Amino acid sequence: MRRGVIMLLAGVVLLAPVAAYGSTEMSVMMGLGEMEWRVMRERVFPPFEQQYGVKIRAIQAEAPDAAKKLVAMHRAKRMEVDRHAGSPLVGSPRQRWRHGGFVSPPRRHP
Amino acid sequence: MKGTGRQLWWYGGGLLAMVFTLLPLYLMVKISISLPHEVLTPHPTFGIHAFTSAHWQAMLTSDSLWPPLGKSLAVATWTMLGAIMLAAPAAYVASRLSQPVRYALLLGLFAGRMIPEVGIALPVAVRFLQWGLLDTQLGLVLAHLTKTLPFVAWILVGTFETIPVAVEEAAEVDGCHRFGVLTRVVLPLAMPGIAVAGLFAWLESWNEFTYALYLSLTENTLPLQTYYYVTRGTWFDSATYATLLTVPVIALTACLQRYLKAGYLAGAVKE
Repeated sequence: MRRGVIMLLAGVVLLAPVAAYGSTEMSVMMGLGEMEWRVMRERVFPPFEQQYGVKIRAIQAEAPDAAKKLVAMHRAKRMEVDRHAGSPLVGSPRQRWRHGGFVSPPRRHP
Repeated sequence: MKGTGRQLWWYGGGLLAMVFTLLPLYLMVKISISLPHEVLTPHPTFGIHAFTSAHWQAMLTSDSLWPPLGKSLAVATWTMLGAIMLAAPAAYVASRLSQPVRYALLLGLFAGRMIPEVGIALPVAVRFLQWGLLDTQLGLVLAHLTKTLPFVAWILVGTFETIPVAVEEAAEVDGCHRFGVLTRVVLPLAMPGIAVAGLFAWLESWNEFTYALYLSLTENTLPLQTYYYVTRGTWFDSATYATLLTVPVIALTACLQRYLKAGYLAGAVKE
């Protein structure tokens, strides 16, 4: 079950068309445990790297910390992360918009 | 009788403070060297009955220990050296200025520390990212210097203030040139203060978390790695890493303790 979840997560993260950017390195940010990282490094990354010809740079960050790092990178205009597999519930959309607008602004409800 | 009662209160209070400080450390060490069945039970024992070195062996043979440990040691040491080298000359000059100017300078240095760290960490991190200092030791050293420099300067101003100008003048009368006075007289006399300031800078950098979180991407520092095991690892992983985090602190304090002595200038100047 857990492995299935990991594989699903990996699919969501890795099958995004990042290779289309033309970069040979892809930075993926996730919050995983040690065993989950081992599965990623041994079973998931190598075939993906081979298939798409990119090198994966894995970055460990829990969802709240990832949000802080992403906000800092966005404000500095130096985004170093290609894909982030974090919780979509990190802060409210309004908070995220205030922190630099790396997602769309909140909708106004009547 | 009254004196004995007061002494008893003092010793009792001291003992209580010691227990309060050391008990969490003891539990941390105990968990790091105990078998799981001794800890993960409804009624864990206080003593260590089922000893194991497995957690330490696992940590020491793990790939995730040495890079963060090396990075933390390097960053803390460079921060300490940088803080002393920058703050010592400035503090010496400040200590020889008139009192109002000296206090204005010190207050100016502390102005940056009046703002909570979490409030300025993001703008500082953004600037450092723009300078390309993400995931570099230099970036962390510079960030840690912003924290440690005011305190180090403050400690050193206090230290240099205690060295009488008359001692320097006496050295000059004995034929020592100005630079010699600084290196042969002032610096050795200021060694206890420099040791304290260095220890403080090293510890601040070693334990620093907020800037490290912003400025580290692929290579963690040891506090970040410990935090990782607290959130994602077992009790035993986090206890072992936390214990390791305290070992260099104890070692450095023991090394620098010989410089920490009082009354070294007693009788240096005849008033």
